[in-house]
Amino acid sequence: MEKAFEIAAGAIESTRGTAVTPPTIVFPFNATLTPMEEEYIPDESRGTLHGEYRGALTRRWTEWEGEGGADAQVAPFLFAMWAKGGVTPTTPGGATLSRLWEYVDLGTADNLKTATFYWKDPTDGDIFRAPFSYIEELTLTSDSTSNSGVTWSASGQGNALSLVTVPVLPAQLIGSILLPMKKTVYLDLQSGTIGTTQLAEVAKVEHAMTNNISPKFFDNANLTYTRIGRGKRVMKATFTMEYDETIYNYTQGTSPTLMGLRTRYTGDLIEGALYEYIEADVYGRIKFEGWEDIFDTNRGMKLSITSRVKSSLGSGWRLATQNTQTTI
Amino acid sequence: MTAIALYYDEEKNPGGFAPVGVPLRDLTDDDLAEMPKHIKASAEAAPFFRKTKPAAKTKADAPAADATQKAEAK
Repeated sequence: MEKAFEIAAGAIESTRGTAVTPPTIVFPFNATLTPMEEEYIPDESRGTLHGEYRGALTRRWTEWEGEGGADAQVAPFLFAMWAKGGVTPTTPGGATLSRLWEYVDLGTADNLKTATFYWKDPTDGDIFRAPFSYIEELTLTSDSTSNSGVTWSASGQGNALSLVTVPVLPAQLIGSILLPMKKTVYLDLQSGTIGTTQLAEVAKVEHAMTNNISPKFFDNANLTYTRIGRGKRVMKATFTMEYDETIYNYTQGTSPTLMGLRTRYTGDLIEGALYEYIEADVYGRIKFEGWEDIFDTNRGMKLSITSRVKSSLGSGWRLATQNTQTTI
Repeated sequence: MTAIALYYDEEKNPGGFAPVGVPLRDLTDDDLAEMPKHIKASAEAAPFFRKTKPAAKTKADAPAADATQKAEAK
């Protein structure tokens, strides 16, 4: 099994836990699926010094993780699992190929999608498969102080791993490379309009959200989970920027200042004036996290906004991605 | 050169997305013979590869330059 030939693929499940074949997407980033198990070994009196005589597996599941360049073409698939399921795209004005996917979750229903994941070097004819896979956490990161593009990393769990015959694989979705220095960041008072006041000196931005999903291991001959439960969640945006007195003052005082942070990572042109992009809005109280060094000599400040529901939106965050995908 | 086994129809792939390990061009019998089974299956299943040659563009699809050339010829 050669690492160079490994592929990671997936298909959104219409019914959670019912495996879908063939996959509809081949991911352009690194991933692994790892089989996990728990075993019960009874503590028995056998009259000897031997510690174990017998045991039985009590549960089986898969841990998965993936990381790579953030990609606007792949985003609809992952956002359906991470942010909100059931979203269909709209066609922006003047567009033929372009589609805009927007995610605002009101938090009143469990709509996240699960997927059947595939992974392995498939040249020997088989591949690992994990149905009922969900995203527990995803982090979107950009750092202009490094040589890296905009990246994301995600992890979660799936049903017990099995080996299946390699299914027919679709074309690999590849969007443009998103660069930290081509981002645009806006910070506005929540009473104003998000996306108005652009910040010029933001070095790093990170968006992270943990879904607090609990797998439920109810009676099942395969010893794997058959349901998942949802807990509360928030999206946290953390950003590092050049010291700015006005913005610093927003973090101080006796009352929290509610703000809206918009970050857009713009990729290549699709058509006309429409570009590939991934965009994240987070609303909440701006908080001072600490002092940082930026580019060796600059004194920067690390700030954060943890999502708090904005009443007119019904959510404390919004995600969007523009690409050419019409379906997932 | 061996015969073409699959013709690439670029118009059916506006995004230019390729199956893993498959070049976006006409594929010969030799190309397919060289591919691992799972990659050959992906090429054969892709909607932009076809066993028959795509139809040539009609006069209606001809670029505007032809109309300009005709005017200059007069």
